[in-house]
Amino acid sequence: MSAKSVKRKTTASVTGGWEQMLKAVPMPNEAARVTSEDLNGTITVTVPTRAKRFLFPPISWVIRPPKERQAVLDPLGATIWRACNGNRTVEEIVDNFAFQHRLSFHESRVSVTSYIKALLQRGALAVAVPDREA
Amino acid sequence: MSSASEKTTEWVWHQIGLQVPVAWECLQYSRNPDVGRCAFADRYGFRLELNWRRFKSEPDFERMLKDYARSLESSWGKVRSVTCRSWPGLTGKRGKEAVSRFGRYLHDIGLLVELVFIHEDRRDKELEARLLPTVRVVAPDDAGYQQWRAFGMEMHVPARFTIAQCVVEPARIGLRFDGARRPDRWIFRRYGMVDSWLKQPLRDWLAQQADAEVRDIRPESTTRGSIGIERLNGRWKPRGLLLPRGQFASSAWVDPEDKRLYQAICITGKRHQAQHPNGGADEMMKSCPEFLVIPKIR
Repeated sequence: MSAKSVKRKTTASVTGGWEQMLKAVPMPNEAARVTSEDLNGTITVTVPTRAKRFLFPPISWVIRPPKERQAVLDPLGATIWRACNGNRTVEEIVDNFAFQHRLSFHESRVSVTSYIKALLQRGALAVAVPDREA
Repeated sequence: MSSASEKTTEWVWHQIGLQVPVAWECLQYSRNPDVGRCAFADRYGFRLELNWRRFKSEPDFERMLKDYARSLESSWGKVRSVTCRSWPGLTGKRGKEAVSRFGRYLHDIGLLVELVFIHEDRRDKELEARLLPTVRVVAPDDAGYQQWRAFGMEMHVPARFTIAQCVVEPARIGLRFDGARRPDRWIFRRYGMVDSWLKQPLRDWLAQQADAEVRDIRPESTTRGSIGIERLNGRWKPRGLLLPRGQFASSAWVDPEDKRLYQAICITGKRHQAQHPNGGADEMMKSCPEFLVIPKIR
């Protein structure tokens, strides 16, 4: 649950809400792989980076960007990463995370979706979103 | 699914009390006592708004409703006037949702209160009839404490204190009430996922939380029912000759029902000395585990 102080005058009751997002199915990027796993549950996910268009010789002889990017996930993040296996909707992952950690639905939703968002930005995950009409 | 049969719990905010289904969580709130809103949502969307606005005298609410209905006709289509448990209001369809808006002026606190129900499909009259009569004014008690009941905590603070800060994050909630002068400051906190981060005795954790300004600390362990409470009482004495001093009390406990850690801190200056909880800060706060509804595993 992430309540925020209301400063704007618009109504909270906008249509739609977050239902569509809950029906999305996150799945791991096929190119991403777990490269290390600690005993405490921390894992490192390595994602190959795409070569930048402007990096051609001779610029690429000087600027050498890394070919891979690493994301270190703490034990909680690792749980979410493993749950994003392409078989579960965000809603199911949120419910399971809430149950495991004794959180309310919205507390879990905010935690899980912000983590999924971060993993999406790092290219570790992809998301299948159902049709709005479906 | 009708929400009318769901269990409810009382929400008290800025002296307005109402029963809300336990599965609805507050996702928006206002600290402003003159105008603001608390919005409650189930897992798929907002379902209830509690709006308030201060008026010096009773506004012409019927006129307001008429003006409002006229402005909504273009976007809502047909808008009907309705009355539920003597609350005047109007209802209409907004896309797939049915929206009902009811209002009443609460003379005792000079606030116009509006309740907006957002029904998923059809108007749930039973739910409206169940929640509307529960709206009440929660006036300060005879001892001069105002009551707040929100985010899993029931808090009692001196009537002259105002809410200064409210932090609501996953598994971390904090409300701070300040008096008009320093050092008056009462803080109430509720933490979740305690097993993940509390790796020391609660007494040690509480002692670590105490600021350097706290002197003559007297730790104490006690129980209230099945709950073990840790207390720290002392004096609030900042370094500096002119800085105001006062009393300090802090308590923490883990509620066995919801497994959350609750902490109350009362820093009270001379002005409100009579209202300082000399027994322990836990006297000013109760845990309300019924607020926590954990989804079932899938």
